[in-house]
Amino acid sequence: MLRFENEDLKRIKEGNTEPLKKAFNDCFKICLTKLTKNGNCSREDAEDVLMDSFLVLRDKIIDGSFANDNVTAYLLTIAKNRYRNKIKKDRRLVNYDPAIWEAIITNENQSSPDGINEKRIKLILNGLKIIKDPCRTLLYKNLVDGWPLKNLVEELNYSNYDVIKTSKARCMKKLKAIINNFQENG
Amino acid sequence: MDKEILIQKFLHGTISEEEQLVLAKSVENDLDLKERLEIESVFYAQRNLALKDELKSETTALKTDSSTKYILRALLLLGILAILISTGLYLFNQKSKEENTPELLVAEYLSRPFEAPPTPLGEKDKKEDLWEDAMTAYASKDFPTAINSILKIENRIEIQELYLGLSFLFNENQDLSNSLKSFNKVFTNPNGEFKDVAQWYIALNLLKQGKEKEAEFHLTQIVENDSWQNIRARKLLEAQ
Repeated sequence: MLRFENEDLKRIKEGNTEPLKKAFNDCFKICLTKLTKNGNCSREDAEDVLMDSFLVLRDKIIDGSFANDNVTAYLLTIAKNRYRNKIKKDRRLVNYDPAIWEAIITNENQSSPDGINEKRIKLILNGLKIIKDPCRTLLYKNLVDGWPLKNLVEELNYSNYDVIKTSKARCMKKLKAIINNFQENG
Repeated sequence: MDKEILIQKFLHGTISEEEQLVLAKSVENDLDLKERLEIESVFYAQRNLALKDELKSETTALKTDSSTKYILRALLLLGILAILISTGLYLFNQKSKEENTPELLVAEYLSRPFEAPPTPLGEKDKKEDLWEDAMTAYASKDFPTAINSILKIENRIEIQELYLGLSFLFNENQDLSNSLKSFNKVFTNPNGEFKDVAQWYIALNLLKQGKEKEAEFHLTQIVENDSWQNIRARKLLEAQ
């Protein structure tokens, strides 16, 4: 049964991807076989959802909610869940699927279904560079590093979760204003 | 329901169908949430691409590794197969060589006596009686009787000398020396009818005596002249 050492969990939280890559090498093939067994999932889809499962795994390790009892079983559960969601995605949420943005960033898809293209992504990413602290630190840690708000309460000296949540909502409004300003001024 | 958590679940793909419905409905009616979801989704995508790239390179390494393993496995199997075939061929050649030693070949060629001639018909004199007795004995492999009868014949003709030699050769108490003398008489006859037969048995006789060089001379002649038993003579030469 594949488990992470405590040292590995610590390294992942610090942004080191080596333990994840090792886990990937150890269980990718077996997960792929199980997902494609009986033709339930194509190999391509299985590879996609497995990759996504590793992203979720990383986030769960970062936010401390990963139980670390069986990595392979956990990845398979996430992968199956993601595959189910992939084929049952609510059409109203399709435009917000990170996969669409990933495709645009990697030039696999030149525009999202509602016409938002690479330029829009650049505006959003650049907006974070313009915004000032404390919003910059909060959003950077939350959106770029992937730390969940509840884990940032103490680190960023917020009194509780509700306070940091409200702060984030305010910061997001500021960010949107910057992005829209960029957009309007070309 | 906490929109923050709902968004995280949506991005992670761990959102339930009910939660998805709630989020979709909220996005439809809340422009602020719509824009926020878009921004969060872009950052999530950007953040994931780096790790995905790293994992994809691992996939390539895994595939390359698998291909290399497959190739190595195939080469290993081919190697084993080649070794097995080589060993098989070697053993087969060894066995063939063992089976084709001159001694074994000579023993095989001498395992069946040369055919007895047809019995002469009509009236016979004493000389012919002896010859008939000899050949009757020869046909029934009673070589001592055949030898005795032939030796009693005076002024033996070529064929009688040949069968005398054969009887000495095929007799249980083989007499190679006398056999060779008889065959040589037949072979040295310039107009001999049985020169070919005599030469073949001279060669076998010499091999039985361990005189390979002399035997080789006769075997080579048999092969070169395309004489009787030339194929067997070639085999004997190859086996030497």
